[in-house]
Amino acid sequence: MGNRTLIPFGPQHPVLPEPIHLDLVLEDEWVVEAIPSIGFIHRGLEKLVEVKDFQDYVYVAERICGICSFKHGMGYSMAVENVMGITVPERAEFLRAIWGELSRVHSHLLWLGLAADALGFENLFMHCWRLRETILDIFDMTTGGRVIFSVCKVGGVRKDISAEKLAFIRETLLGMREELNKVLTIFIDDATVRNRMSGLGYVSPEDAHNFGAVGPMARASGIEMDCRTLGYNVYKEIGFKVITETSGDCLGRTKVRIREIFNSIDMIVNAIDLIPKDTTIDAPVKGFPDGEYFARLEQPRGEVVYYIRANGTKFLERMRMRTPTFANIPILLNLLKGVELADVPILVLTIDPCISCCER
Amino acid sequence: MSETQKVRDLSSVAELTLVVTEKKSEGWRLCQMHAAYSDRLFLIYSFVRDQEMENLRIYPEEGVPVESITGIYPYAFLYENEIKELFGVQIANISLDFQGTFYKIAKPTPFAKAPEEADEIAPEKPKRPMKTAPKKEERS
Repeated sequence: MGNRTLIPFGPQHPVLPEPIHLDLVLEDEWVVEAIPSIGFIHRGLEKLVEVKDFQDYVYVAERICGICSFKHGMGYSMAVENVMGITVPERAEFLRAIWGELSRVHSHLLWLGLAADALGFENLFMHCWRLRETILDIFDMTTGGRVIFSVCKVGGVRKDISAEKLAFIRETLLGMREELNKVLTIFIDDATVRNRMSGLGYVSPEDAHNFGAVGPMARASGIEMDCRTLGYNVYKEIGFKVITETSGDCLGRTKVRIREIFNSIDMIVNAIDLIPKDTTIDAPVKGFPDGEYFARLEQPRGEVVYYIRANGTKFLERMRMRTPTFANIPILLNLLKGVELADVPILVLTIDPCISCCER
Repeated sequence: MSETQKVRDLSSVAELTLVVTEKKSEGWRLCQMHAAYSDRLFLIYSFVRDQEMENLRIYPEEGVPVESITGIYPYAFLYENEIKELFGVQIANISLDFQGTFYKIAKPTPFAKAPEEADEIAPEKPKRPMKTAPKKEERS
């Protein structure tokens, strides 16, 4: 047995945009065990539902995290709509799909940039974030916000997108495809990136299942698991495909995210082509919710679960949110065992951690 | 949504380990766990398989610890530590027990309610008194 050392990793670390702490037990240069410590930014937002009107809480849900903001508002709204038996107008469902998939594109580009930065490939990082700016500009143009949109509401959406703007988005995304192809191919073809990520942090399909992995973490190990197959929203109509890889390593997870970007762009273009002309974008919300419901949907990082319990008043009794990062921590701890200390940053990044979501 | 959802109330907490073991052997994934209140505290264990979701509900007795399921689903330790810290539910034999240091919270068990509080509707927020501009003579 070599020398045992305890190395603290985080909560402040160059690869971590948000704080998480890991106690790494090392034997020489090899990690033997990783013990997580979270809770630096726990805000008790679930508790706030007891004193906020259930319709106003959408604004709080959106502020749980700045990257999956729209999806949080949408997931919470879906749970309330199911309890109240509200049918969302079709145009609103299409608009939700467009904003939701744009959010996925921007989230994956953000992650790819951070991954390039962690690899020391500054130029690639800047290109990914430059392309991401185009998506943020579309958010700005359609919602008035780049991070928090406040367009989702119980019963539908608050804002419509005009035909001219939809045509502009379509053209912009189709024009972006070629450039994305050029930039993102570097992740797959460049020898420095490939050598750094190929074979690193292998997760077998059995481990992915046994440790409850979700999202690209599971799909990169060949598990066909994506909540968009559940039939919510309009995913059946706009050409959604479950993207999987079989390599189970860091490169596989990167490839899943890259292919999902292109699939999302295709879906947005199809949604723009198929969006109904009817201009109704919200359904009336009458009375107060009474009952409980579990809404599951697919965020950029994976499956998210919203549980709500209502008692027929304007305040909910309970709102519980299980985010993909929370579900992916156990698999991260498992794959850190036996790796070199120098590989820890890229492996932590590989789950695409969002600590704000995780701790709420 | 094409997903089917079921909530199954277990008759006793003692039944939990047996039912969860069955779920594991049938290939269900533990999707999440949480605590909530109706007239009293309950715990929900959610399992997912393909397009199905099944939730087990148990009502823990006060002062009697609930047995951890980390022996069956090792990754349940995060959920169990969270429930223990936020709601003060006693859970025995968690494989990795943070002993109250999982979240950095100022107040212990902030989500827990006293029994008489459990079925109460959340109170209306107190309204802030309106600020009025001081009169001219007061300003001088």
